[in-house]
Amino acid sequence: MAEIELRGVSKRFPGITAVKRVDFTIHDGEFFILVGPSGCGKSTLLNMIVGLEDVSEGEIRVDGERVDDLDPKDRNMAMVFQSYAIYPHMTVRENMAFPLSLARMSKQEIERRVSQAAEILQLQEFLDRKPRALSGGQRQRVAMGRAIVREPNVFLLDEPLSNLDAKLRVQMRTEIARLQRQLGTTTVYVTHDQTEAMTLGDRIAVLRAGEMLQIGTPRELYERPGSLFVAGFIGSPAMNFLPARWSEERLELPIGSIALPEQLRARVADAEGPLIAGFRPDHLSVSSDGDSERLQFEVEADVVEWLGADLFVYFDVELEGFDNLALPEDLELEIGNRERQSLVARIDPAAGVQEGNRLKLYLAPDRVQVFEADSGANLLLDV
Amino acid sequence: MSRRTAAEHRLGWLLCAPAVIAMLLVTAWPMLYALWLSMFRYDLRFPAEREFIGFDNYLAVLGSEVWWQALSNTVFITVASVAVELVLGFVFALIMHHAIIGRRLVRTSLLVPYGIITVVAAMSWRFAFDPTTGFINALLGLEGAWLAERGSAFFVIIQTEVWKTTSFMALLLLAGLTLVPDDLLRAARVDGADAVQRFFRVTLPLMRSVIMVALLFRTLDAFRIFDTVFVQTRGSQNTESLSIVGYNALITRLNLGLGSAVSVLIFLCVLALAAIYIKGFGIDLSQRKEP
Amino acid sequence: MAVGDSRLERLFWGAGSALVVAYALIPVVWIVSLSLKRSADLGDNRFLPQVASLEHYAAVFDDPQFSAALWNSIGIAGISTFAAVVLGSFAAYAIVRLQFPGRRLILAAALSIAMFPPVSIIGPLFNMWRTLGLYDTWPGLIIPYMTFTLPLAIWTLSAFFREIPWDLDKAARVDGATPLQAFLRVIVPLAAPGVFTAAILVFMFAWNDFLFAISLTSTNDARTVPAAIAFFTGSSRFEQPTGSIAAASVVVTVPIIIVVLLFQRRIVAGLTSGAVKG
Repeated sequence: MAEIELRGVSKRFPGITAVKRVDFTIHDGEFFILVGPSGCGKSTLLNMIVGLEDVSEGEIRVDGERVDDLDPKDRNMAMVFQSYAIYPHMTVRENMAFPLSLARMSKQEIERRVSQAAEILQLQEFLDRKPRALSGGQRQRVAMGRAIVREPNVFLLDEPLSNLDAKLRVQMRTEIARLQRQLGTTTVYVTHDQTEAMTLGDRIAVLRAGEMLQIGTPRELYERPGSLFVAGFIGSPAMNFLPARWSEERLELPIGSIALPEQLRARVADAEGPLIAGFRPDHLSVSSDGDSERLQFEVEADVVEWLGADLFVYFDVELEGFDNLALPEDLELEIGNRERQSLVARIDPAAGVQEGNRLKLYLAPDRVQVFEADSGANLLLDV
Repeated sequence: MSRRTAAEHRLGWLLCAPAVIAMLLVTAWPMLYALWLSMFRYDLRFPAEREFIGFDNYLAVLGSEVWWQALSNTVFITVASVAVELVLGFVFALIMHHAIIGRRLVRTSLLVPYGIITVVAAMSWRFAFDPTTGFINALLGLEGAWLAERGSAFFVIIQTEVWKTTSFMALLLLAGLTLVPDDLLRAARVDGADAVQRFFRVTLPLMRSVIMVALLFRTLDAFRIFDTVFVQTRGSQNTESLSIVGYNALITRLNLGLGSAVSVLIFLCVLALAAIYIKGFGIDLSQRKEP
Repeated sequence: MAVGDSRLERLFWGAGSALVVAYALIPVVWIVSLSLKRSADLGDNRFLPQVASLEHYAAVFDDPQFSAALWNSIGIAGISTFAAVVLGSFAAYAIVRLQFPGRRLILAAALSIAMFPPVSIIGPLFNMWRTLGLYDTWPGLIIPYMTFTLPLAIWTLSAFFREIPWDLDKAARVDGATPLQAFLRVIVPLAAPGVFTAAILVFMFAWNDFLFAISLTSTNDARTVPAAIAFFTGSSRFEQPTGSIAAASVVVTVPIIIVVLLFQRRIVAGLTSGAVKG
């Protein structure tokens, strides 16, 4: 059982600061996700927690005790690597027993723990095989097994599923979630995949270029993103963005204008530089549902993707008279050209839309987020 | 078999034929010829006395003090130099693996001993240890003539061999080290292994096949030692190696019969060594990546 | 970069590197320094010369024995290299690109020849060469050098050839090249570095050989540098030819050092390609 506390932690490499003064606390038993684009410093942060990298500045505490000058072996944390890092010259059994034999545990205890872990992970029949005779998913399980036999205070997982194919990834994802709930061990999980982050995490921390942008539950990040980057990073398909401007007490968008609640108007009016409005694909609908406040606009379906339970409609919006839309590059979102921006709506498959059809879409004004383009700050968030 | 594959087989053999024929003509054929010669009393200085004598030459060689002395000298030089090379090679490889600045410089410098002519290396060390021209005695405050005594002569010979060939060992081992994924060592650290345990329980087992191949090549090479001994002592002070004995019998004394018996016996020794490595230590050379 | 190296560890490995460099270079610096000493200073037991002089270099280049040996070495090693690389390329190409029975047998045979003790065949070769008139001639050395370097050439070349994306010639054909153009402009440039590396390694072997050189030659007609150095007699019978030997050694070492400096990456790749892969 462990609570991990990071206070002002930085990591500097020659020429680059990989992690910039990060503060947060991971609660006991929590499934905590570090997410961000590649190079954001999430793996470095994980390596500092486990002790594979030194901390340049700040401190790390586990249950109030400072650990940042301890060797990894004295931190009682277990780690699962992206490459699995299974010892190829040892059998599955030897791999799982390795940390225990290093800790000079008795033979019976090692045997007991290995067979217990093998049972949990359904590895019994593979115990005497060498790793090269295992499939990707089985290797992944061996790596998990080696972590759980130690009964560590903390599990650290560094993109553990990224080497698996899509189907196996979903399966292992649920397995990891189940295992974590069963064991109740504090878990820190690094990923660049926002779907994994959303489905697994009790809380998610979004990192970008070494900075902690926001920490919150998946729901908080989805509904109340603190910044343009978080808004664009969390959610699939990504949030729709349009350039916006404040004019005559209303927010004007290329698809029409909306009124904002009283208390937010001043904040938007005081904003500096160009504005960007964002709304999620699932907040667009084909009916007003009797809500007369909804913004109504007509589009032509460009591409239609039917996924059974969902229907995604892609359409273009003309940007005439608006500023060019400048989105952060590391979001890797598809940005339209100067004249038009491509958006997507997730609507009821029963609507039966076909490519080339014209359709009316409705957007509830209270679903719209407004960001300062330059700072990326979410203006509607009562911070 | 389709015509196409038959043509492919033919072309394959055609392309390999020159190399295969050359290798057979210059090794297999002379080896058989040596076997034939070794059955004769045949001294080029007295060609008229040529006569078939069966295995008498072998009995003469195996009954002589010189052969057994040379064999034990050769084994001693081989074991000592290969053992030192392995340890030193590992140290060098680890240094190159860890040195961030200057790795290139170290690698280039190490290639100099590898590339230098053995005779030149042997000369350089001979002059260095020589009491009149050398700097080593002056450096150590000694006066002895190193090559004039058996023990110190062995030291000079082995140290020359080590200097010349540790590079090869180190470069092979370095290549082996880079095959050990960094993640495995990090995992072992998290699993609680200290530096020594990581080396012996992760790095070393993973490098087993590279180490064995390097040892095999170096052992067979050291066993054939000729140039260094020839230049430094020419076999005096009782430092003769097997190759020196063979050379002396064949080329210096022109005794083709006896010398060929020595040749065949050396060949058998090398064969036995290779067999010990391949069978005994389980080096599976064919297991290497199928071309 | 290794895991978690601290500043102290970096210092440690840096110091280690310096020691390795010193160990590798001291005998070379020593022989250079010896070659630059004046004859009178040869016995001064100093590591460095008090006064640098080129007298020994003048002496070795005046010596017809040495210039003949240098020429022999260059010619014999060069021709052996060319022959071994051409034959080795044929064989390696066939082994890598064609399916035919016996491919592995050829590789195994090459490997066993790499382990073969040359001393075992010098007697028969000596006798055969005398009968065939090859004793003390260039071909008399070229033939064994070529043979003993063929295994090295075949192994190195097959390792390199395996890495070549051979399908690229098909792409070139689709792009409109003739078969010959596809070969010359796509395959040859890709194969050239490997061939070149094999050539360097083979040349180093032939340049280095001593046993065949002293067993199968007797005069300036074919005697190579290593043999000449070992049998240097000096200008007079009473003078130790130390200075001349040192100067001659430096002369034959310089090309090797230049090659090593220029192509170190290639040489290392070639040396380790056979032993480490797979």
